[in-house]
Amino acid sequence: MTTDSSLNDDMFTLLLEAMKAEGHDTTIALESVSMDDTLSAIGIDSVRAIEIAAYIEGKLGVSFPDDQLARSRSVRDLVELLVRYGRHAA
Amino acid sequence: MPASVALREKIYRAYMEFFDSAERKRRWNPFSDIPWEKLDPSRNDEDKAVCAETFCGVELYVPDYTANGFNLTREVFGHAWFQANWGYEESKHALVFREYLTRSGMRTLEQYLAFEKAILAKVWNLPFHTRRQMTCYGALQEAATYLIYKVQRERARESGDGLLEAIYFYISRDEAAHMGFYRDVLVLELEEDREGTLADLAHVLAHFRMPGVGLVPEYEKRMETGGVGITSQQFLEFGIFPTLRKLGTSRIELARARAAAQAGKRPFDARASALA
Repeated sequence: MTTDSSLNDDMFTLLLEAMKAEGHDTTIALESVSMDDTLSAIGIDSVRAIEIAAYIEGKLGVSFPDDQLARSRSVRDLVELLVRYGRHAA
Repeated sequence: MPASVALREKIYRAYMEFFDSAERKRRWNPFSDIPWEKLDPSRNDEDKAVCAETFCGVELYVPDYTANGFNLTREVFGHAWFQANWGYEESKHALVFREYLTRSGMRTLEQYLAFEKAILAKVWNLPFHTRRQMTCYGALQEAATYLIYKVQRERARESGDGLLEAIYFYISRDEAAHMGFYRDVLVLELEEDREGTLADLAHVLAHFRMPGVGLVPEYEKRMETGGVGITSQQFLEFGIFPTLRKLGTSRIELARARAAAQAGKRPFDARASALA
């Protein structure tokens, strides 16, 4: 059984994996990314968000609603989105 | 790749609709339609000035935008004629911002001319080098510009600044119409070559920058002024996603098109990739 805490950790790890897969490890140090970072602070603009979401959706076999993706302001928001939609896929 | 006869004809018809609507419903005069009598120096503030000056700076590249645009579109009548109409409308935007800045006294004529000189000391170059990629760019850039002016209009209305509200009303309406034309043409391009158009759109999105970046003096600092730009999330929610919906595609299909292009199934125009 997956606990909420470990699911959060898994999704945070998946997010970092997606960032690396999309080449963000060349512009920011992924080990320094924290849940409290805003997306803009770590260089995730609108286009990067689309790329990262596509990677994660492919991995989890889910689809995030556009409006909820667009309203994600921080790493925590994104992880919560992943947890919400990835819960059944995990 | 040259546009087919059928595509050129469809773009001509799209332009006729755009032009007819512009002539009948959207023409405005920067002198007689703007309520200059509402100019109230007590409403002056530096944020408003920075916003208007920054927008004016971007609009001042009309000679570069149109020269480059004409060269790229000259073989497609509807698109080239749109370029002419677009340049005329954008030229009014620069003009009305100049009038606003100097009539309000927020900038002296000397200050404005120094700014204009700094702007024109640099040249705007095409960020992409095919007509279709620039159509993708136009659809996204006009969406962002429309959103920025819309926010300004709402701010002006909320603060009771009737003059500024009117300025941003006319300008944002023009930008919405430009965005609509680019989207309409992209729909036609998709009908002609879906895979290639989506690959172009994905490429443009991945390399997208607003036209003032690197040209307008102190651009980054200006972006710190409230309302001079929009956030990444706003662009995503109100610019990119609505564009994708209008085009009948999704970010999933776009990501696949990009992956396919990157995998070499559908190489981008080599020159565009090298220069982007």
